[in-house]
Formats: sequence, C-alpha cells, structure tokens
Amino acid sequence: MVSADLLKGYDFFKGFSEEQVKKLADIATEESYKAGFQLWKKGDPAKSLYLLEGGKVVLSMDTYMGTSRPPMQVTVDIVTKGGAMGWSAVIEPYVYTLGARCIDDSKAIAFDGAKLRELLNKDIKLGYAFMHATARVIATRLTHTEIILVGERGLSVLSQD
Amino acid sequence: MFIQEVELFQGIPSHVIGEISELATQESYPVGYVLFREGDVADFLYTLEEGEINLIIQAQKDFSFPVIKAGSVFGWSSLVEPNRYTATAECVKDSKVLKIDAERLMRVFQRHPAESLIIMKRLAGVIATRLLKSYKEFAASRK
Repeated sequence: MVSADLLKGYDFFKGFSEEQVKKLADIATEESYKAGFQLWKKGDPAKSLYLLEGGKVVLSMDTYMGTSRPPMQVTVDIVTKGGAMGWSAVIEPYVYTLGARCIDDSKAIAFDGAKLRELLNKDIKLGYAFMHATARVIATRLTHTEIILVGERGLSVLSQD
Repeated sequence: MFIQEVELFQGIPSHVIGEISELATQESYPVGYVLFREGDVADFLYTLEEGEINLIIQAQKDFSFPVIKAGSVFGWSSLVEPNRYTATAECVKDSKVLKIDAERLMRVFQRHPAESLIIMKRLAGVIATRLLKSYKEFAASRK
C-alpha cells in the first residue's frame, strides 16, 4: 500500500473523495525500473494500471516495413511524471494495446488489475469515478495519436511531391 | 429508435432509461450538414438512428471514422473533460439522430451510480475502440 497523500497530487484523482483515494491507496504499490526496462509488450495480459511518479516511458507499436525485415518500434506517446498508463487493465479484454518501455530510470505507482476491478465493482461510486478518469486518459491518448497521425500523413504527402 | 437500443444503454433498467429518454430529442439533417466541428464546446451526446455520419479528424477528409450502425454513439467528448469535440461530424447521407443533453445526462448518472458505472465502462470502451482504429491507421501509414 501507499499513502493516500501520495495519490492526491495526481490529476487522475481530481474530484475523488478522501475515502475513495484511501481505498485505492490500500491496493497500490510503488515500483522502480531502470532505463531500458520493458514494462509490457503489446498483447500481454494487462496486469496493472500505473501512474508515473518520475522518469519517462515510451508507448510504442511494432510496424513492419516488409516481411523480410524485423519490426520497427514507433513511438506513439511518451508518458511523463504524473501521467497514467496501462488503461487496458480496466477495459475488456484486459490486454495491452501498445508496448511500454522506460527510457529513463522511472518510478511508478502500480494498481494490480484484478484487485482494482474487484474494488471498482464493489464500490460503484468509486468505480464510476475511476472509469470516468480512465475515459479521460484514453481520450487524451487518442488526441495525441491523431495529432501524430495527421503529422505523419502531412510528411508522407510532402515526400511524394 | 428506443433509448435502450443505444449501445451505451442496452440492459439498463427502464426507470433509468425513462429519465434518459426525457433528455433526448430526435433530429433530422440533410446530407452535408455539419452537426459539430472539432474543437467546439461539446454539449450533446449523439446516437445514430438512420443514415451515415463521418467523423473527420483535423479537417482531413481522408482521415475519418464513419458512423453507420444504428445505435452507435458519437460526440462522447460531451461526457469527458475537457468537453471539446475531437472530430467534425458531417452527414454523408440524410440522417436521423437522437441528441442528448450531456450536462443533464451527467446528473442522471449521479442519481444512479450502479447503472452509470456500466455506462461509463462502455463509454471508455467506445473511446478505446476509436483509439485502436487510430493505431491501425498509424501502423498502415508507416508502411
């Protein structure tokens, strides 16, 4: 478990009550990783949702430039201090949709997916608040991805001229 | 269309559906009509009844998500901060939609937390689906 005070500073918990934050703090753990550590790969079971306390994590996908070449990792988003990642831990089918790798030494607060889902189903007001916050995280990631995608298309059009 | 046929509201008890129905109005738009533009303040959640709507990203018509299935929701930004639409919605065919006042819908959610949890899980799933489509587009654009 971690202290409730540690969680209160995160945007993710904006609007949560003291009691709700305390319940989440009880199932949270702190973890540290070295730069280069692969937190998960695309397709892995989504075991935890994380809030980054420090460091940097890149979210990337494999792209294939041809069947004979190895896949290339393309960065889709970068999570920095205060950011949330691993939303797949609370959204069916509970499988990560991108890979996540630390590019700096990093520290995170981890919420075990199974414990989290159990808590959110048991305390429905907390469940609602948490899923609302998760929807915000996914929407933000969508906006970032679409900005990158439109930029990529622009570049590809320019390179064809 | 009945509210309980909307993808977000399937299986929700009738007394809650009744409250949501009171917030909904049915509207018809001609082909070419723009329901909202990307960046606009998002006040309404929409459901397609008939027709086809294109969700256009950053004014690029070749980068868009079609809404073709009756019961599909769009305009979900009305329920998620910062409450600004993330796409422009344009009718590709003459279309009928249900338009739901989002602020009042959030108040219904406050009164019915158990049903709201189910709806919010589905809403997060709807946004995640569009995110996954973007990832696929992204992967395809690199080939």
